Amino acid sequence: MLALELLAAAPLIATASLLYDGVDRKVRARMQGRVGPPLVQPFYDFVKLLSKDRIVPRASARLIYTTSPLLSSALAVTAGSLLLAGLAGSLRVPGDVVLILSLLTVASLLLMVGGASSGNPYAAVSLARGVSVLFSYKVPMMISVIAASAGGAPLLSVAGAVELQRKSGPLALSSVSGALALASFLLCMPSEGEVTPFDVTTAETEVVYGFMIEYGGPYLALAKLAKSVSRFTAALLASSLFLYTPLGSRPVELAACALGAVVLALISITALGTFVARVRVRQVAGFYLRLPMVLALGALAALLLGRF
Amino acid sequence: MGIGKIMKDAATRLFRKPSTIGYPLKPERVEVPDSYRGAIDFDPKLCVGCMLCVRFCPSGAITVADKRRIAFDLARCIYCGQCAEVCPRKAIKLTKEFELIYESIESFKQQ
Amino acid sequence: MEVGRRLTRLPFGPLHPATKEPALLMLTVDGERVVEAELRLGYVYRGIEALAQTRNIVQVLHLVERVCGICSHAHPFCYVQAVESVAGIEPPGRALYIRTIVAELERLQNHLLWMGVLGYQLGFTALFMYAWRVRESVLDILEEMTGNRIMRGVNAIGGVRVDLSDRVKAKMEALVKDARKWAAFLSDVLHDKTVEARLAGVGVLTRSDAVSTGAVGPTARASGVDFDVRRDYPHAAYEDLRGAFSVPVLSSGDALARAEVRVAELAESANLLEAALDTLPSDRRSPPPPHRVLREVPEGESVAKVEAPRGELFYYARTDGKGFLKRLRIRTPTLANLPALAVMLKDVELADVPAVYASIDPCISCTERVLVVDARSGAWRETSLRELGKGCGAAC
Ligand code: SF4
Ligand code: SF4
Repeated sequence: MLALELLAAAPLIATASLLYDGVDRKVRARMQGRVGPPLVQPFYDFVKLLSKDRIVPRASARLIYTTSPLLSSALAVTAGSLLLAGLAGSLRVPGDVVLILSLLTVASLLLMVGGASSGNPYAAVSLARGVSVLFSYKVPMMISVIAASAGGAPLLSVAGAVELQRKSGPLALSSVSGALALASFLLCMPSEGEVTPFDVTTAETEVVYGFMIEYGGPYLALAKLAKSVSRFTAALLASSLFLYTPLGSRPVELAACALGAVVLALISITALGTFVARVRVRQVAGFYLRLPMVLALGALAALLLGRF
Repeated sequence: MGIGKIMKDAATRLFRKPSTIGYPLKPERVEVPDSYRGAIDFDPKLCVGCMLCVRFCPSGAITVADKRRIAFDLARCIYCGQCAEVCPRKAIKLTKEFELIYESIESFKQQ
Repeated sequence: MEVGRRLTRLPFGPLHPATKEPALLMLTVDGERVVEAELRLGYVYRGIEALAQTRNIVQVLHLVERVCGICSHAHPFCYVQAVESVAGIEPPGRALYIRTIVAELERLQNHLLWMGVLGYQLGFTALFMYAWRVRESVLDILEEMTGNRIMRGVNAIGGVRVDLSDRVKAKMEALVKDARKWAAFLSDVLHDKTVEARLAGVGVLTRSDAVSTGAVGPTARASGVDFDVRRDYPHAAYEDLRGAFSVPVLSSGDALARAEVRVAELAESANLLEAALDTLPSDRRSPPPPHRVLREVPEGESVAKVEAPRGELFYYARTDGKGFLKRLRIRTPTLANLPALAVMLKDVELADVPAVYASIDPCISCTERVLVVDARSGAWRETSLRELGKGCGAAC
């Protein structure tokens, strides 16, 4: 039953992610005074890339290089589908929030390793950068999620968080801990989505798209899909853990939740990425150790204080 | 000091008409000024075969057939307008035509 | 080399999103730190100087206009001055003013373009698009005045080929006001925390390094070298406009200073434009017809220099008295600034390479005139600046 549902959810989350990418590109363009590409441009890109030749660099570790985009996108889509299933209430596995975040982490890591296996020195530099970025933002992200779902929803599950919020309203609006955790999570989202200012791993002018440098054709299509699904899944997770609004019927609530995800992503990914310059690698770790970490720990502290 | 100094400009841009246009998919066109130096319009009837244009064309885009009949190779032309400037009979004009897109260099040359 | 250090060779170019033009910076990096940077050129050699010897003096005017796509006015501006000084031709005052006005408009658009490129290098897309958008309004005016956005064909030997109509003049006066606004806004954006964090203290070029590497233009002025051809060797209308502008000089020599100097120059160009438009003489006289020019230019040689947006641009021309050139030598500002780049890149972080590279506003295809030919075999090879430095010492 669950397997079937996940299968149904997969295309849904993939479509929604690509669609958000289209919105992102359009809004970005308009903020820069450009017309921008059509909303469905990411779909065109995906199809076009799929139709291209598969090129594998001679110096690459062939097996890793060719399979990791597929695996990575599969993992990201699985994470997204699990989240959807949790939202719909049909998945009630304890700890699925942690599972989702871990799947996203593994998906990013896989892609980096796959790219680095191409043998390109830029990809190697990018892998080194990527690992340090990954560890710096995943920690506050995980803490903020735990702080959020540990509150009234024991066992860290999406379904639990949703049920709690259906009773007492959006977490971020009803508790200090929730608001702090959301702020911390939003600051981590640009790193999850690998966009400016934290796109040091794939910065085109610095490391020539980093680990993506050698990927092309179908591999690139899948790699981009993995990225875009991770990006949107993170936003959807934030929206469902912190801003799930009781509106009476579940379908309406789900739609509102998806809309909330888009709005959150527009703020923390699209707008932020337009307004500021890229930071340096060293600055990424420094940044996440400060503000987001403090916010996340603050959320945890507020939660514990509220309890006792 | 401060962060996001460009925020206001970018946020207001969002609601204004974009500066770019959907060219060439949308039938919008930017007008070029009258002094634009585009495709060459040559009137052989006016030409007296003085060869001044050939002498001054920097790119060798003007070829001479027998009997001092001249022809233009637009694929070589750099649209500098020197030929129109030196022509004593005003037989050469540079038009406002800039969409010089052809499928092959041969079809371009035949223009 | 220390034991245990893992050095990687990272080819920054010749095809790299940050360099745009084909130049190869061979970086040796230790983790994220650049240990050594070696520049190799030779990918877009076009043989313009040799070509110039096969064309007559008027034809070369259009050729040199195509040395650079961005400073397509500075080159012919400099060239006509060299030829005019050989021939002793005095262009009318209005022509000199028009040349100057176009040169300043060109500086405006060049610096705006450069700001955009800087924004792109830093992943700051809103800055990138802002700068390029306002740059378009400069280009629109240039297009209306001359017919084209670039390759404007303003200069002629002994005068100019276009005139300034009152309508365009009014638009330029409005542009002056806009340009001041852009300069104020851009200087504000440069001090955005995220931008400042990327530029301040990065790629420092000390004054003594700037002098010894022979840097020119904004690159030198950001390192405290107070030199500007427009003020120190005034030509065209700059002589009259001396009081209308000042030369911004900063001393910190980092990438931020180079950006600030350019932004300050935007405002100074606006001042110059305003003054030039105010005092524009009205002696319209068309330049001598080309065939007369060919007859009138005697055998001789001359040099000329102008302050191109990127720095001092130098021309040497030797005519043969028959309307042709025996030799044309062009030294572009980028060539003078490249040795300084090698100094700046020492010990920077990999992440800073694009910003430092861009901070000298390099224009590679203008610069490519150096090719080492093995005289015996006739084979040519690319050359790195270091090798070149060994070969000719201080002379280059
Ligand atoms: S426009 Fe210039 S390049 Fe073209 S034919 Fe005339 S003189 Fe030659
Ligand atoms: S300059 Fe004019 S008249 Fe003379 S050959 Fe050319 S087109 Fe004919």
